[in-house]
Amino acid sequence: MLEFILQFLASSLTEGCVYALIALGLVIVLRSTDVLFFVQGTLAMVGGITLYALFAQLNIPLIISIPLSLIICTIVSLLTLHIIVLPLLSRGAPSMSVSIVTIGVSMLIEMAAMLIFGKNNLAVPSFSGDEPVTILGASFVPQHFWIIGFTAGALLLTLIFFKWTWMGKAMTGLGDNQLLAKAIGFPVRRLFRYAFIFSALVGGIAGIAFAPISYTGFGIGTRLTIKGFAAAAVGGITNPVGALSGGLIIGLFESFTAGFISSRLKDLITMALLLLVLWLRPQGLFGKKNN
Amino acid sequence: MELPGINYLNSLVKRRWPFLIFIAVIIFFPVVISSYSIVRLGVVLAIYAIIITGMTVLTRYLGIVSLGHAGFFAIGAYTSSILCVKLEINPWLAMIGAALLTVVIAFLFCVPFLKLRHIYLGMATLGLGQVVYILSKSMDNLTGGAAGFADIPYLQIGSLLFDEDKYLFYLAGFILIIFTFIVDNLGQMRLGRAYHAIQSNEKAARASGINVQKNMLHVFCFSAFLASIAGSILAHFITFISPESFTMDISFACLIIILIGGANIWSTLITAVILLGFQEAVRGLHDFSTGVYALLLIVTFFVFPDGLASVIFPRSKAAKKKSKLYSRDIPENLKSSEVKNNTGKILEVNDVSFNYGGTQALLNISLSVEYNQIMGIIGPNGAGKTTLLNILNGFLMPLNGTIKYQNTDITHKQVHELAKMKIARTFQLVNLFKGMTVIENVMVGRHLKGKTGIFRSGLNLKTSRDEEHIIWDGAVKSLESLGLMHRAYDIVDNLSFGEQRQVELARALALEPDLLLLDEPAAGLNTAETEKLADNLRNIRDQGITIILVEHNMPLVMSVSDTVFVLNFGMSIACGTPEFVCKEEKVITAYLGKEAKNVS
Repeated sequence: MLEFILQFLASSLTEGCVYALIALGLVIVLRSTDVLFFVQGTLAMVGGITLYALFAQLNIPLIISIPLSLIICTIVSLLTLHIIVLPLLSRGAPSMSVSIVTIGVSMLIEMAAMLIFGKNNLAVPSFSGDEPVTILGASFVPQHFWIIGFTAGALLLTLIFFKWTWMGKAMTGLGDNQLLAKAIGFPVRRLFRYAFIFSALVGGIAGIAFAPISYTGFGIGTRLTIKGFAAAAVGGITNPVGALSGGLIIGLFESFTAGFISSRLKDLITMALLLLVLWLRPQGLFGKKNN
Repeated sequence: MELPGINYLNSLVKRRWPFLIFIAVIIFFPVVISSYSIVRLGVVLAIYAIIITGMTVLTRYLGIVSLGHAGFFAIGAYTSSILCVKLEINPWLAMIGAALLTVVIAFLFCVPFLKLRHIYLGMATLGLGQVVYILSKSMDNLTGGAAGFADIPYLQIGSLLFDEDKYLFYLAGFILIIFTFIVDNLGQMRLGRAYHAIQSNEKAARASGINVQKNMLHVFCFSAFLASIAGSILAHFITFISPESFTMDISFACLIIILIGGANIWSTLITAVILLGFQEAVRGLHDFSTGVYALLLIVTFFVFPDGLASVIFPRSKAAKKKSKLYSRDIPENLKSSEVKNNTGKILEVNDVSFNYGGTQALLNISLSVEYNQIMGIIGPNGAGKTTLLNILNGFLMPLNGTIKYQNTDITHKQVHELAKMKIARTFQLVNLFKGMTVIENVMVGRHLKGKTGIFRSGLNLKTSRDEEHIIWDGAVKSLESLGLMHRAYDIVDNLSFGEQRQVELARALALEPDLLLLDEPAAGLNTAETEKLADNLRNIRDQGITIILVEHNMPLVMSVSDTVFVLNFGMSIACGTPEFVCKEEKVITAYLGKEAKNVS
C-alpha cells in the first residue's frame, strides 16, 4: 500500500511540475499584459514536437536540439506578440478580446503542426535511458529527474528574476495599470517582449521534458493550457510560488484520483478544483486579496 | 381607393424585412431543396442557430464570454433522452423538464460565479462545460458513457411523428423564429440598451438604476435555456447522442461565430450558416475548418472588432429608424402628472466616516439638505468630496453613521436601489456608454420606467411598447431641455467633451430624480459653456429637483448655490450661505494657506 502511495506521489510530482511550468508562463503573461495567453500550452506542444523532429527524426544530439527547440518556441511566441497581441492592445482592444484571439492563434498553430506532422502521437526517446530507479519502493524512470530538474531550474531562475531585477518587479505590476506604467516611462513593449520570451521558455521546457514520458502530438496544447490555468488559479495568480504549488496540488489530486478511483475522472477532479477555488477563494490558495 | 391596413403592412415590411425574409427561408427551404443531405444539414444548422441566438445576447449584448455552453447543450440532450428512455416520459415533457433542470443548474452556477469578471468567468464556464463532458463520458449507467446513448424516440404530435428531417427542420425553424424575434427585439429595446450599458460602463449602468447582477443572471439562464432546448432537439433528431457532440470545440465554434457576427442576430445567423455550411462542405478535412475559423476570428478582431453587425447594421441608423416609430404624441393615459412640491429636509447625513485602508477620507460628516435647493460642496483636492458623493449614491458604504433620504434610512442601500429612489448622479470623469447614440445613452437613464422582462419585452407586447414610448418621450424632453436634440442620433464617442458632459447630465435628468448629485460638472468647460450650465442648474432646481454640486469653479458655486458646505481633509469646516462661507476664516486658511492670510 505504501509503495502505491509513493508511486502516485512520484507520478504526481512529475505531472505537477509540467502544470506548474505552464501555470508559471500564464501567470507572467497575465500579470504583465492582463491577457490570458491560450497559446501557452500550445508552446509546450511546439517544443515537444520540434524536439521530436530534431532529436528523434534527425538524430541531432540533445545539447543542440533542446536549445534549438526553445528558440523555435521563442520565435513562435514573439511572432504572436508582434503580429497579434501588441497591435490589438495598442488599438485599445479589451484584454478579454485579446485572450479570445489567442485561442484562435493556438488553433492555427495546432493546424500547422497537424499539417506538418500528421495526427499521430509522436514518441520521443528518453534523454538518458529507461532503466528505472527505485527510491523508497517507488520506481522512477530517469526522465522524471529531468522533469524535476528542469522545473526546479526554471523556478529558481524565475524567482531570481522577479525578486532581484527591476525588470522582473516591473513586469508583475504592469497588468494592474498599463497606462500608468506607460505614463511614468516604463518601456512597456520591452517588458511585454520579456514576458512572452519567458512564456515561450517555460512552455518549451515543459513540452521538451515531458515529451519522452507521454506522447506528444499536435493536439496536446489546449488541455495543457486549461490544466495550467487551473494550477495558476488554485495557487493564486499573483505569484510564481503560487503557480508552482498550484501545479503540484493539481498533479497530486489527479494521480490519486486516477489511482484510487478511475483514470477517467482525472480531468474531472482538476475542473472541480478549479471551480471550487474560483468560488471560495478567487484569489487562489496562496494569493493575496486584491482590492 | 386605399385598402385599410395597407399602411400597416407597408410599415411592417419596412421595419421587419429581415424577419419576413427569414420566415420565408424557413418555410421554403425544405420545399425547394430536395437533397436529403442538405435538408439534414439544415436541421443541424437550425439547432446550432438556437444555441447561438442565446449566446448572442449573453456575449454580444451583455459582454459575458462563455467557453462552456456545450455543457448546457449536453445537459439538455442527455436529460431529455434519459427522461424519455429510462423513465418513459413523453418526449415533449422531457424536453421541458430538461430545460428547467438546465436553468436551475445555470442559476446555481451563477450564484457564486457571476461575481467573477472577464476571463475568470470565462474559465469558470469552461470548467462547467468540461465537468458536464467528463461526467457524460464516465457515468456509463446513466449516459451510456463514451459509447453513447441510443434509441431515443422521435418527437410526436398526435399522429404526426417527427421522423423525417423535413418535420424536424420546421420544428427547429419554428423555435428559432420565435427566439430570433425575441432576441432581435430585445436588442433594440430597454433591456438591450441596459445590457449594452452594462458591457460598456458597469459603474454608470448601476447609477442609472440597472441591477447588474440580476440582468446577468437572467441572460445567462436564458442562454442556457436555449442551449438546452437545442440539445433536446438534437437528441430527438439523431436519436443517438454521444459525448463527442458536446466537446469544448463546440463551445469555441459557437463563440467564434458570435464574435465574428457581432451584436445583431441577423449577422450572427448569416455567419453561422456560412461557417457551419462550410465546415460541413469540407467535412473530410475536419481540422482544416478549425483553422479557417481561427483565421476569420483573428481577421475580424483586426478589421471590425465589433463584428460584422457594426458594418451591416450600424447603431446610429437603428436609432434614427426608431424616431419615426415614436414621432406621434404620447397617449394621454401614459402621461405622468406628478407635481413636486415637497418641503423640509430631503437628505440628512449623520456622523458619516469612511477610510481607504487606513487613509481617513471622511471623518464624522453631518449635513442636511432641504428640498429645492442647490448645495455646493467645495474643498481642496483630496478633501473627500467625491468620496462623499460615492457614499450618497451607494458606490461606497460608510463605516459608521447614518444617511436618511426622504425620511428613509438609506445607509446600506445599493446603487441601483438608490437610483430607484430617484437619486441620480454624474461623474467627475465622463462615464458614458460608448458605442451607443446620444439618445440611447439618455434612454438608459430611464431604464427604471420599464418593468418588462426578457420575454415580454422580446415578444414586443403592448406593455413593453408603451414603456418604450414613455422612455423615448422623456429622453427627447431631457435632450431638448439641454438643447442637445440635434446630436441625438450621433454616436456619443464622436461628441466634444463639453457635449459629452451635457449628455451625462441629460442622462441623469432622464431618471427624473428628486436628488441630483453632480461631480464637477464644469470641469473642462469654457466660460460660455459654464454660464449655460449655471442657467441649466437653476432651471433644474426650479423644476423641483434638489442638487448637490461638487465643484472647483468658485464663481459658479457661489452664484448658484443656496448653501455651501466646505470640506478639508475629510472634515467639515464650514457650512452656510455663500456669503457666510466666503468670509469664514477656516475656509480662507484651507484655500489660501495660513501665511497668505497673514499677509493680507
